[in-house]
Amino acid sequence: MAPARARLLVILAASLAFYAWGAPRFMPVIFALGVADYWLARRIAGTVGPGRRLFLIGGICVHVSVLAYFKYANFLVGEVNVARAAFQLPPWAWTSVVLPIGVSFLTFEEISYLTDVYRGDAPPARRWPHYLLFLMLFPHSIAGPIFRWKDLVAQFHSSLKPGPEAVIRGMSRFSFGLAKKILVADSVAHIVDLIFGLAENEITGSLAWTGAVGYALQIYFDFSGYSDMALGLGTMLGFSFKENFREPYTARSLGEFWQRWHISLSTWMREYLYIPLGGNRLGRTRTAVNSIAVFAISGFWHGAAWTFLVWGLYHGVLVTLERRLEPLLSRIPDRARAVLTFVVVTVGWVPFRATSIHQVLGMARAMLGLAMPVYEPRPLPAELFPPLSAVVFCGSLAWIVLRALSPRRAPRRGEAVVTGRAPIWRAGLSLALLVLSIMHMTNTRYTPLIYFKF
Amino acid sequence: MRRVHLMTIALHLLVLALPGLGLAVGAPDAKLFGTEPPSIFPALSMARWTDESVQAGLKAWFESHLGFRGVLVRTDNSLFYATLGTTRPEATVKRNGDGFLFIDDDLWYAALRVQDRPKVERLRALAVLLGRAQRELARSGKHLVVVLAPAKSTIYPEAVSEGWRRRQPAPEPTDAFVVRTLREAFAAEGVRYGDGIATMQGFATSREIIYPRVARHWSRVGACLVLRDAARPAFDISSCDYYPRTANFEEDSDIDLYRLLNTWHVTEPVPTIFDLRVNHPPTPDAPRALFVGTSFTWMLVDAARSFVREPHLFYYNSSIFDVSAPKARLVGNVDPNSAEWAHYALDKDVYVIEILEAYAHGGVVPDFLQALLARHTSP
Repeated sequence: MAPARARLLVILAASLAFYAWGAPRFMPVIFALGVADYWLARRIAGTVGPGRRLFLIGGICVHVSVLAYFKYANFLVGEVNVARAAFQLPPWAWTSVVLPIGVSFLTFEEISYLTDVYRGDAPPARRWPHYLLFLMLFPHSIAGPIFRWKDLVAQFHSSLKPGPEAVIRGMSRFSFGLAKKILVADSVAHIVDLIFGLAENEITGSLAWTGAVGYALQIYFDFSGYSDMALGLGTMLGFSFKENFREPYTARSLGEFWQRWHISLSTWMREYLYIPLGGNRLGRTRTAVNSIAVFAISGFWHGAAWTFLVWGLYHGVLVTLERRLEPLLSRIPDRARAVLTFVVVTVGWVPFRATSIHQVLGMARAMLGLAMPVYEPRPLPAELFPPLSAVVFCGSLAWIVLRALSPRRAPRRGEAVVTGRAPIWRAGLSLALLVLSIMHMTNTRYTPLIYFKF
Repeated sequence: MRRVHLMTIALHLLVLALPGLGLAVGAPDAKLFGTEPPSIFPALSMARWTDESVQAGLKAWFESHLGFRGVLVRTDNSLFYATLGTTRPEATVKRNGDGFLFIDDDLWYAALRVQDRPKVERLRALAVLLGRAQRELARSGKHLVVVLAPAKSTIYPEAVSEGWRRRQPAPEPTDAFVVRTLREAFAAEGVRYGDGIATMQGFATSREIIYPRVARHWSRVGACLVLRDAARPAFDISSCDYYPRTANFEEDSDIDLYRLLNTWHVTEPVPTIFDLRVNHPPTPDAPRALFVGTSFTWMLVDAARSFVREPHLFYYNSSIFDVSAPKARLVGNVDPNSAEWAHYALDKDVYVIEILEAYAHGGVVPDFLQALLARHTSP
């Protein structure tokens, strides 16, 4: 509702307020980095010769250092202290660093900004508020997508005036995303959390597989739900963000899976890491090394724990193997390959969700039928599979499987984009889902005691 | 078409804004049952903003004061109940069998694994302490009345659905194990007690008179029957006669789980409950009583109120209530080192100790008895 010229400033003010709410202690750091990047980018653009590269490398080092401190320092000190304890040395004294929201996404965006300017793919920001808005645009602060400056810069200079159809599309997208997160992901999470909370000697093979499949569903609906909300909000604000998920579980190969899952991250990894490392231009061995290294870094980027590294390496090694074995794999019928890819990806989610390598090994043993539980599992069937969670679990799995086995069709960007009209039924469904989601959120936060106890 | 678009946008915005608007204007709302910790509007300061305590406090305050919260919660619960015939996984009330409502504690208790059960040593130690306390107090002319209260899943085992049962039951179910162990230990230590499980399982008429299907606890009638046998010779409950009446939806404890469903209750009538006929002031020579126990003790208090004087309740041995009137009054906190404690605990003629089967291994009763014996035997 703000005038066109002030619209960006209003959105920036809202973004600053959002960040001040969620990570107030990190605000000075973001401002400082924003100023540094703004200055660096102008130097990069305005310098000729080797100095340009120095400014770029300096900027990247600063951002990686910030990320290393906030995200990995606690982990590093923890591991050093474990090693010191093994040699009976006193631990390093250390005050835990609080991880600010979105620091991983911010770092990648800052690096992409400097690199895009260095490569000449985009001009530096004309005004510092534009760059700050690029960093802090609130729809994507929590869980991405990872923006690239070159994708957004033109939009900052446009009028940003969404029409009613765009607003409705955005609202619908937001509602669907919220419903995916609240009504689907959170319901399945109940089952997953119970299973992954079991002791090793309580996990049967069927429980382990249920937990793995459940997490595959949970993380997809949760993460893609957040992306839908971000894209929906962006559409309402007049922006056009790129898709971050394209039905990843319909992929016929791991390589294709990574073109459909968290697309903004895969794109970033390819453009700013894999290709600078040489990509696939330096022979088969180097290509394999590059692939595995990029996936390992990607895994570790997700979290400061060995389990994330295992997840990254798992995908890196399998993607590399898949490339080598493609002539053989291509003989497998499409549908079978889709199922196989889903199973491989699902197994990979176990280290991603597990809280320790020990748990990963325990789950793996169970999934292979090698676990011999001594005790009966703690949760009762009614606890593990309450009606809603069971219905949502089975329903969402059935939907995923049906989509995976369905014949391929050309990607549909939505009638609204092509025709400019949003179907009324979709708006009605969006409204219903919004109401259900709000009711559910309100209700799950009301957990009264029967009586005052103490 | 543009008008339709604008209406659609307006409806979405209205749905999003309605809870906040309701809060702002203090819109009337449906009542929600159950208790929550109080949520206070946080003090605002830059330091508290920076350490994010303001944000957490504001979020909690907002969620508990949300406009139309009652309507949202009840509607969500009603839809859930109507479509799936049960409650949300995170709800403490579970629906089993033919409309039986259980608190989750009772279901988990009935399905405890062998390794998670109360330890025999702990149950025996309780019996030793009770025996000692009965003998010590008897020497001073005082009485220790012990009442064993049953878990609901013990009284209605057939109402516990298959999903809440262990597939590999132990040689004896948890409730049978606990009750057997307690009975044996009480017998070995000579503890006189009212066996609530035996009394209720032996009740010839409908169990729902003594333990309503939608209640967390036994009814006043059930509590009266158990207490009557255990209380002699401390005091004599002359009658446990009862009559049916329509429950007061907002207050009666006999439908507390039904209320806690927090649905619109449009398809189920408010159940009929049974109440005690006896209701008169105690005689001047009635003994002064202190009750100690869990929420099951409230019904014992109601059953005994006409037969004891100056009754107080050490609720979970934590809060002190004056229970001389049906509406209890909080008068303090339990602190065995305080003069207040001595006033409420020592100047009594009879102590009624309620032991809930599912919590028999807990510290409520032992903590109280140890404090009492320590002060009682002091010169």
